[in-house]
Amino acid sequence: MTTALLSRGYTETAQYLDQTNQYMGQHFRESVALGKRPAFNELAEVWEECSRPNWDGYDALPVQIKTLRYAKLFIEALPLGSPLPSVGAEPDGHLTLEWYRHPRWILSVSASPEGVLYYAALFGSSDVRGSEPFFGEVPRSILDLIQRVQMA
Amino acid sequence: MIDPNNVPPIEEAEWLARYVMQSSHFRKSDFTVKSNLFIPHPYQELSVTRHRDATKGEIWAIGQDVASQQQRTLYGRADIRARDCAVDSLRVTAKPFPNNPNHADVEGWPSEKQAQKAIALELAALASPLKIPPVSPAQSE
Repeated sequence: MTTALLSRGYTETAQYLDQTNQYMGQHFRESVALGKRPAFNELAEVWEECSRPNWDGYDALPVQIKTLRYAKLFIEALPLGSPLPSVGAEPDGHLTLEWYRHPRWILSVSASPEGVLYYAALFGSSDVRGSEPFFGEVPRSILDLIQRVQMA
Repeated sequence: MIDPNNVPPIEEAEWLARYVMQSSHFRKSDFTVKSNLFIPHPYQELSVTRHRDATKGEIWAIGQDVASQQQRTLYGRADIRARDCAVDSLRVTAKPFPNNPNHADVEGWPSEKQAQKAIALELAALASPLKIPPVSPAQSE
């Protein structure tokens, strides 16, 4: 949703429309954030557990704050109505976002501190894998895989 | 436990345990384990413990030892057959430690992250659901 940056004018009606538009925009953004709150909460929990060295007992690297930011931006960038991922961490310090139906119908996306998304999916006996730079929008290839997981 | 002076090579049918010390490495909904548990970083090997010649109590005791040494919580373990680890270039090799003659490594991981993830998904699909540690040692026998 876009927010009007320029005022519509100086009349009372124009000011009313601007205020209404700003209120609606804010309300919309809060609603979207509210819908994604379970994923943000899980992200915070994982960050709490995995931001120190050796968080897995096997010498894992700590998750960096910039990795947390990329993962948060990725969740924010998911289209409205998109299923939410469950959040985890990998021992190289990447955060993972997972869409799961069952162990053989699953997508896992890793957010790295460099802003690269690494992904792999299992669909029955076949797999899909790849990487994409993250520029603030969820890549089409990953959106398609999220939809495919839901179609099981 | 395996005799440290006579460690046999890994057989295909052997069971291997991977200990879970992170709560986000399994799903609370169905207790299946996540692929994150099988990503090998920071080493090029994935550490596992062979069931061979070990009692259930000994298998749990090794996990408890590792967890307490690392000051971590042992949430449980996932078991996987050695033959199921032979995905792509992977192989399992006996690597006994002084305090754990049953230790082994899953080796031969590719360096590309997306390839590691694809293999880890496959291993997680083949592994058992999370097994919870017994409350008392007697329950493990």
